[in-house]
Amino acid sequence: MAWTSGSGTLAAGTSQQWSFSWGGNGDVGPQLIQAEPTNASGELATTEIAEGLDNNGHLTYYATVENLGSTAAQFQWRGGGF
Amino acid sequence: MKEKQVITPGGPRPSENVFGVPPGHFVRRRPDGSYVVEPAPQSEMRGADQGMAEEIVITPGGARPRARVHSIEPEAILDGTNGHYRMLHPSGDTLADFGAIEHVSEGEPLMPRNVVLPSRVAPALGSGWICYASWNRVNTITSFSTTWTVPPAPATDNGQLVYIFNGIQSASMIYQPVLQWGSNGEFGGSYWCVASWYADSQGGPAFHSTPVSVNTGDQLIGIMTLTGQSPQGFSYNCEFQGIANSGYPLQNVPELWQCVETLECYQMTAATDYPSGKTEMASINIQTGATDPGVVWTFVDSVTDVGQHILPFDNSYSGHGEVDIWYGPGPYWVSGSGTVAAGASQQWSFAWGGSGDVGPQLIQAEPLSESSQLATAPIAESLDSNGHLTYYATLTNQGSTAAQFQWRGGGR
Repeated sequence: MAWTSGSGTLAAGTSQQWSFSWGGNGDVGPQLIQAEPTNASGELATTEIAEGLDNNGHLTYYATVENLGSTAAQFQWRGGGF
Repeated sequence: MKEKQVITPGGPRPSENVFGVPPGHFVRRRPDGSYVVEPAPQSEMRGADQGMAEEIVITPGGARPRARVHSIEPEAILDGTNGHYRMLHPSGDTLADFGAIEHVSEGEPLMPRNVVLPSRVAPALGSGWICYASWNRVNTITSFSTTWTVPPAPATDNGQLVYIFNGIQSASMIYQPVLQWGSNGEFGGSYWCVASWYADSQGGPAFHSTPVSVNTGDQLIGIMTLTGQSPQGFSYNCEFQGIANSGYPLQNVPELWQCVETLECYQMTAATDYPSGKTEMASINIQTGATDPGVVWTFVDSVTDVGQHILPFDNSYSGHGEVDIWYGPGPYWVSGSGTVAAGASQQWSFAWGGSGDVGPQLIQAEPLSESSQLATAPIAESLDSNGHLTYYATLTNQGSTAAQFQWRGGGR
């Protein structure tokens, strides 16, 4: 099931790590998560996807986006699983 | 002279160890662990041969004559002093005398090796303990609880029987708060209900509390607690927390030393006889007095004819542990597990048959240890000189302690 969630702006050459959380125990299986640039000339790399299990037994997903362009870029997150 | 070998299911064995079981007979395990073939009890014979299904009850643990299935009255106590079982009024008065049950002090856990499959119907799908997780204690189990949600009713109603429970058992007996869908011949029907059971093996006695109906979406907390220990044995309580009369106390019995989380089914004829999706056996809390129990589950998928399986989700055992019972195939694959030290990385390979090509694959490491975070990158593919494609994924433990994990993935 594909989803879109969260948006932001990222300065040139910088990175941000975002977290994504679902209800219940948080488990929605393996998730492909990518940052989509929403302004012209934006080039973003999603460099890392991680899963974390907290001490309450809740699974949270993390993704890191890096702005490979020379100007600030706006973006939104998209993803999906099985 | 070389001994004659017979290739049985399970592999070759000497012919003198292979026995035929004639119609109308059954295999009984003796207290010393040996086995004997005996004529079936008269009530079982009637149930099997004359279609008198009401004579047989399919309890957790399988088929047994109705005469051996006993209801424990609300507020009564099941007492097993010296191996002789009686139902006692709280005042101590005897309400019923069930006689002696032989106990096996050592050996393998009672279930699933002693499940008795009903003989009167040949269902299309497998029966008995479908999938389960088990753990043998080191120190005496003092408390074991699990929380789960009553699933949706199965999509089809073909007379099937579904049991879902956590439980504690020995080589002789099992004590368990059980969620049930379907009729077992004694109670239940096309609805969910709960009862607690203390059951013997091989068609022996079984004792249940008064069944209580529950509804899809209800949250259940099945809990077993050690309430006493004396030279006469161990005493326990078992109930669904917050549901009146859903259990009964048990006193002066041999220790129960294995914890299980189990899906047990009978008379299954179609995948839709199962509930859909999965049941999360969550908030698992196992205590062994003041000592750390150090729980490590063993997972067994005994029947996989419609993709049923059980998987770990959270290896904790102090209130947030979880294992998931899947009633069919998962939407993604799970393969391989391990432990990675803090700050360390591991590269794993994943290979399929044939050319190995299963298209683009999303592969991620799922942490099973609490307070851990694992990143997966990059994912690679390589083609060897034989034309076989292999996939690779690298995980990094971003936490400050070692983390257990399993791999999950899928494609389109």
